[in-house]
Amino acid sequence: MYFQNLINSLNDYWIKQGCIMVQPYDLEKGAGTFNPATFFGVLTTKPTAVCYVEPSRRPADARFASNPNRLGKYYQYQVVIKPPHKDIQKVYLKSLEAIGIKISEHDIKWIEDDWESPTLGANGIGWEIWLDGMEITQFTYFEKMASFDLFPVTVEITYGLERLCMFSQKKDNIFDIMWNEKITYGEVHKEMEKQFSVYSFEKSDVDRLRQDFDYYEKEVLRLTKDSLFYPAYDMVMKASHSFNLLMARGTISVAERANLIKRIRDMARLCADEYVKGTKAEVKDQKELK
Amino acid sequence: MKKNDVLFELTVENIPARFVLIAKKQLQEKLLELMKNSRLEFGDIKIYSTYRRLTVFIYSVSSRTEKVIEKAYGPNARMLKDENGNYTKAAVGFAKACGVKPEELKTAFVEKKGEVLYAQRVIPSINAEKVLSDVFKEAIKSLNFPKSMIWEDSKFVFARPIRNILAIYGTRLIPIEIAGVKSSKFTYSSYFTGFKKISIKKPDEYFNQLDKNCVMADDEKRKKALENIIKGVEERVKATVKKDEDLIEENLYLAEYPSGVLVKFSSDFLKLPKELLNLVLKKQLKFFAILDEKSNLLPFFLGIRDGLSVGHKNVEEGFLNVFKARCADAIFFYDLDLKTDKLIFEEKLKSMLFQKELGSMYDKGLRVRSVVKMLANEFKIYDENLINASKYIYYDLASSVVNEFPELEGIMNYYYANNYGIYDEQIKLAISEIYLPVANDSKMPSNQYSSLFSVAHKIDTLVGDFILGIIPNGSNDPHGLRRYALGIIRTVYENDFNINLKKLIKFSYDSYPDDIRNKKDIKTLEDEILDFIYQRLESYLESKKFGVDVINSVKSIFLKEGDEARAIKRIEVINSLKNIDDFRNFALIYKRLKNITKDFTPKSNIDTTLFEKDEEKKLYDSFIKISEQVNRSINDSDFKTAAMEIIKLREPLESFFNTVLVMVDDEKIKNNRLTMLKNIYNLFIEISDISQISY
Repeated sequence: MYFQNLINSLNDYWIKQGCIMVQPYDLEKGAGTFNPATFFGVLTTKPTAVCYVEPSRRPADARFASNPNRLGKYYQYQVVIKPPHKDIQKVYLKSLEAIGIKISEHDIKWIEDDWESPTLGANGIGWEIWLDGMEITQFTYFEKMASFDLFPVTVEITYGLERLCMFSQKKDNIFDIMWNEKITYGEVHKEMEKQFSVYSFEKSDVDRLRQDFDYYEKEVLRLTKDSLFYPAYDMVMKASHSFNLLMARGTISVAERANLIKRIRDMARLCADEYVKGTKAEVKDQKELK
Repeated sequence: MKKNDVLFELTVENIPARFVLIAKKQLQEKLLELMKNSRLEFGDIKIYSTYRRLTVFIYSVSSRTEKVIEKAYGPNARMLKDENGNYTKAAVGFAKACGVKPEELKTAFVEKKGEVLYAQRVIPSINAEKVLSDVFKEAIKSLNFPKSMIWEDSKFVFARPIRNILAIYGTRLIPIEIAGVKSSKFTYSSYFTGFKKISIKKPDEYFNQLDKNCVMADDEKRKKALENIIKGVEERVKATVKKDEDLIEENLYLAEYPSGVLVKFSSDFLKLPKELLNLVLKKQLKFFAILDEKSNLLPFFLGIRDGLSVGHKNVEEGFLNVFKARCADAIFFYDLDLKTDKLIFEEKLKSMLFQKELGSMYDKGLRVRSVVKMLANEFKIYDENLINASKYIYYDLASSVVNEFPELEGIMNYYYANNYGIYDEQIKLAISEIYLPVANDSKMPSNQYSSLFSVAHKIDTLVGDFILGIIPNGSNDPHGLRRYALGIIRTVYENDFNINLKKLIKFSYDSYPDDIRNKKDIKTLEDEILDFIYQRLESYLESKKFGVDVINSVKSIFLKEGDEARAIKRIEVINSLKNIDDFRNFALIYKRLKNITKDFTPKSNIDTTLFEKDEEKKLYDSFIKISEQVNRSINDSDFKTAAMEIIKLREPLESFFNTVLVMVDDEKIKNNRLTMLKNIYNLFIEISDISQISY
């Protein structure tokens, strides 16, 4: 299945399961979990069901387009549902059928893998899903986000689109994936991948990145004071990306790393606090309307 | 009464192997306890499991509990009501304790007590389904996992979400609701057959029905199947599958219907260090390595698939591709390390903390190096190459491979040795074996250099921690110091690494900077560490199955002197000779020797001119004859030869005691005889106090 058709099929499938298809959020982020639809969506008791593609940037994973399995920027497909279906495992497996993988002809294993994001103050219980040994999905029941205990739980299903597509097309190099019948993934992304590798490892302005980080942090403090949690959360994502770029340059010591992570976590917490305050009012309004 | 079997099956989203095993054990114990209290009669309780099923069989369970009448006698009948006609506190309390209302209390006559309050409670007969419902609910609720979650409105806590409950007594449903799931007479097949609904009409058709639907619900049977797969593969490739128990167990709980997938890969990958390749296979992929008769890896692996053989080619291809991808990563890191200058490793080590207050891993390396120097001098194996090599023992901690695979610490040094400028095979092994032995029964350092590095590495951590007061107690041993102490003992003993422990502690202490050393004086430190090592030594000796009497015969004299290696050798020799007749007879006479010379301290040498009898002279001659040989043997730690020589004195000793009276009136003669006996006694005491051996 072509890369673009894969995305379409997943969209179709999850839309049928009642998800709303939102769009990628227009800021750099390390994983789909950072998308506000997930970050805020899981925090309250309000039911939610969304799916979306999320470009994810991990500067330190870049390999100058020379490694067949690694990229500094790639695509995640994210499904977030609260509360999850009782047969969510089956619903997930059917999504694989929807993209042309006949379950009965493959080996599928759910390997214990509890997920954690120290920068978001988030963690959950779950699995890596292996398709014939290849990890294709992270399946997590969220327990904490922005240090808030979550109830009801949300399920987050994250597909690695390139991995899935390599599997589906039997390719052993990401850049050989067919985007459609004529164009390869490499044609779309290879040069970009190379340039960003150079930028991330050699050319980024380290001093400026540190200054930016401090600035974003100040903005979060200022904006959350006025309960502007959405713009404030943008700043959290930007700070997180600055941090990732700094990490790629290898200029951060272990102690400093821990400190920066804690600062991002604290920023995320401030945004979540404001959001929860706001939606409590919203939930109350709904009840009164009834 | 009519009896039926009980079947209970909990279906859960995939649980990890270690959780399944914990659950099985807890469930077995809890169910037994609950059933015993249930008033139902029952037979065996059997528990089976897969990664998504916990199945319980309870055989021959009676269909109802018996009706029970409980009688209880309480305080004196006068205590029923007070002067106002109200029930007294005592009466109300008694009624409550018996589960009846005060107005239901009666009186009865009890001998010697007279008229007392009397309560009678009828516990009605309850049907098995009702009782079992409570039993299972309680049992499941009681399970404790290393990590659990909540997922539905009742906030039931369990390892993973519970999705189905099958519960029947004979053909009847046991109504249970746990975590919002109501029990039924159905279960479901595995994912690869589409989670098909399966009706189970009675317990004894459970395994057959599941088998038909490709689920081996019985762990034992599944394990047999797995072993057969392994056997089949071995026959096919005429080689051995590496049978790692942990890996077998893990695979046992990753498949409900295991089938084997044998994959051949390019022998190019065999260029990777074999430890690294093994780890990729086992840890990252859960695949079994395949070995030739010399335990070298062959270019095959065995993967276990959950499911039938449909699409076998897909799975084989997939397994191979993921293996190649993982190896590509490993090769990337390995090549990177080989290309990295050792100075870069050194820089990284400087920023790698060993312990707060004890400096970086680089600092630790320098200390170990100075201990190695001192030890090398001590053993007269000083060699510049060796001392230089000791500098590199922690360098691999800075490598990418060890960063990715921490289990390979030490091992990778062997492969990076050329980069450090080390070419001698023995020394290469030495820098890679510093962590050995890692467990009670694991591999030992393979040569004397390895032993030296390994001991130096361990004593540095022990000394540092003890100076800071980080001393293990109870189950709290964060730095694994007990393991380190045992490692030192084993190396000293099993590898013939004869170092006085006091000296070793001193060497290490001296390698620490003043500000650390000032925190504890050497005497206190010595006592604490020797005591700590000595405790490990005792349990080590016990594990070696040496008799307590044999250990005791050496303990008070030689253990804790610092010369542990020679002490253990003495124990070993005594243990091996203990049951030889000559030795036993000597031990008995030795006891006599000990008693008679107990309070005597010789003041002069033996004076042969004071001998009166032949037996005296004979004993003396025999003693002189063996003395020199015995002393030489003891000096060479050849305790066996020494002991065998001394026991030759048994005969002359016996004749001596039979004919010569020691405690005569003449002080001179008496003391001369005692002096000779004491000298003989002292000769053996250099080996052991065998008067303590029990026969």
